[in-house]
Amino acid sequence: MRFIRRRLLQLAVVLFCVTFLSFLMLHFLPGDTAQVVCGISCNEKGLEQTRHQLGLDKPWPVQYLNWLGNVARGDLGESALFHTPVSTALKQKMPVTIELLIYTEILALIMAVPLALIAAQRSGGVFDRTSTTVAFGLLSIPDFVMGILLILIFAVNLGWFPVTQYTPFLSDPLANLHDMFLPALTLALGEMAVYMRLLRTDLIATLQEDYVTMAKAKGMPSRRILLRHAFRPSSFSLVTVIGLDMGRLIGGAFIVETLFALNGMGSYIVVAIEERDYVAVQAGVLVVAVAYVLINFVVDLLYSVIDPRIRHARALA
Amino acid sequence: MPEHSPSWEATGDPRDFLESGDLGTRVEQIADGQVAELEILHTLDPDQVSGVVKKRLGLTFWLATSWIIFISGVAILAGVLPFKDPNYQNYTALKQGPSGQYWLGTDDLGRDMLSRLAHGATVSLTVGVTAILLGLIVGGTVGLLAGYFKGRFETIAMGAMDVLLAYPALLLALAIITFTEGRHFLWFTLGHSLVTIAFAIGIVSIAPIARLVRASTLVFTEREFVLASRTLGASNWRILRKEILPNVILPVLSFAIIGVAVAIVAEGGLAFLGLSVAPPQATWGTMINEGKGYLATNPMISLIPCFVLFLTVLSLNLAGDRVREYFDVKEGAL
Repeated sequence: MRFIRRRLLQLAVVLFCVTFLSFLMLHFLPGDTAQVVCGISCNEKGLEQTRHQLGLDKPWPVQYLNWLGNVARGDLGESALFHTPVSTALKQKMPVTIELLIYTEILALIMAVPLALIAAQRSGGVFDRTSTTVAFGLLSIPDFVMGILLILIFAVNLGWFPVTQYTPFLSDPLANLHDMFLPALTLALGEMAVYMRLLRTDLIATLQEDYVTMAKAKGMPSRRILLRHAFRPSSFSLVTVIGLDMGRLIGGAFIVETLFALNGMGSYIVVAIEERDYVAVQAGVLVVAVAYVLINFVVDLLYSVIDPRIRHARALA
Repeated sequence: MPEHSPSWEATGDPRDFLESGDLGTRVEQIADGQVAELEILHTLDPDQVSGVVKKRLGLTFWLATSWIIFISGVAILAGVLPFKDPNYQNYTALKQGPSGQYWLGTDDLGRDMLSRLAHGATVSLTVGVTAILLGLIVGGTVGLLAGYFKGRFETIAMGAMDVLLAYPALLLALAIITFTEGRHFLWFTLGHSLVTIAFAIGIVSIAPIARLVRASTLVFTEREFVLASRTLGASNWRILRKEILPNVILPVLSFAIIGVAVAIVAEGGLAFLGLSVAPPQATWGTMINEGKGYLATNPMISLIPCFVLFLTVLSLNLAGDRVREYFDVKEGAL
């Protein structure tokens, strides 16, 4: 309990800093903030209105609290480009990005877990050495290069998958999964390499434990030892890394969404940057960063739930 | 070899052997030129001795290093070497394959690919190295001080690092580039310039480096030689400089080599999103981005920079990984 309370306090501090920094972003820009928020084609009346809306005449702690209050109520400001609330746009785009990330994680785990199990079973063997080398190579391929390669092979040459096509999941789930396959695979191949290497190392370490030797001595088949005895204790750091790597993955989602013309948060923010729609950028950055912080918080708690040893060690400390 | 069987084998404790004085005579014999004795000595503790003897960087390391040196040379000399003008658009030679005139062909605007690759190398490597240097100087200092002095400074500094880490890396870099445009920093005007990109990626690299340096500083601060130095009256500054820094710098070095690769990829990603150095300046990411519209007809425009980028990143990763293994001193083996 004490551990959870400490983590909650830490979370609150980090969230405060992240929201405050995101709030400050607009004020970092040189020149009149109202002009920046209102857009380039803003007249004197619009400027006055924006200034009042943002409360720019008030001291900045008040501005921050007002802004935070609005954010908490779901009002992320108005896009200077479309003159529509940013939150509506983000609500529309978020499912695409979330689906992309979940799809990626599932693909990556489906590939990584069996490969790691086979590799760890005979560590140092041909399969182990080959897969480790390939994983190392995969880690050196940036997301955008991987995307280009996959498009070239699977879309241009083989014609199995479309490049820029998106069917909403609810209208046709199968078509959606088909359309999203290449974007998800682009990100998943890199993730797979990370997960595979990690799980393999942990599995090999676990297989040296005494209780594994004992299970072997009792005559248990090695496949059963691997799955029932070694897999779970080896998967703990994998869970942490899934959380930590989410940051890399979100960056990757920006690139993949742009490359495959997916209408998600990433491409929304990128377009907003190009159009100098700063309120939209600020809102996007805020939402993504807060989501990332929360994901890592949950993963950290989850870690102690699935590994009783950690829970007890922390309770004792 | 029954006559050379070491006397301590019965107990398995090397100290027995040392105390017996046998090692002394053996070493003298070796010094006298009896090389065969050396081999016998090796059999005493195969793990330890072969570990010392066999520790090599390996062929892949040298291949990777050669490529890094080659590409760095090209990057530094891109302006001096007789490359064509990277921005000259030859409208009579659009999207051409390799030829005597254009060794690697031309892109969609008829620009020489080879020359653009060379000038792109300048951008990529400058950004990569500058960013990591910035990260090393700021992050390294913060980590070193936090790990050594601990206390309130550590809490605040590491808290600040946690906040930096709360942003996904690419997002933070994007935000820095977007929201500092037009600002002045020292004597630079920020915007879509080389300095801003390096600065943004450098800031992103501060937190991970600070964490790494702090972690190893924490370990070394507890070691006996630091205690000894302190007992002899050394100042904190001297201990940090003479005792801790040399020990911390090795793992950080291998991390920095891989960090350069990460920074180069980050620059490529920003360029791919159209947010790196302003066109027509060539960078690898921009070239890949410009070529992606012609994948069906002229895939080489995109694939060639992809390949060069991949080779460079792979080489840096390999070199960093090998350096890490090379300097990875297992405490147990000492």
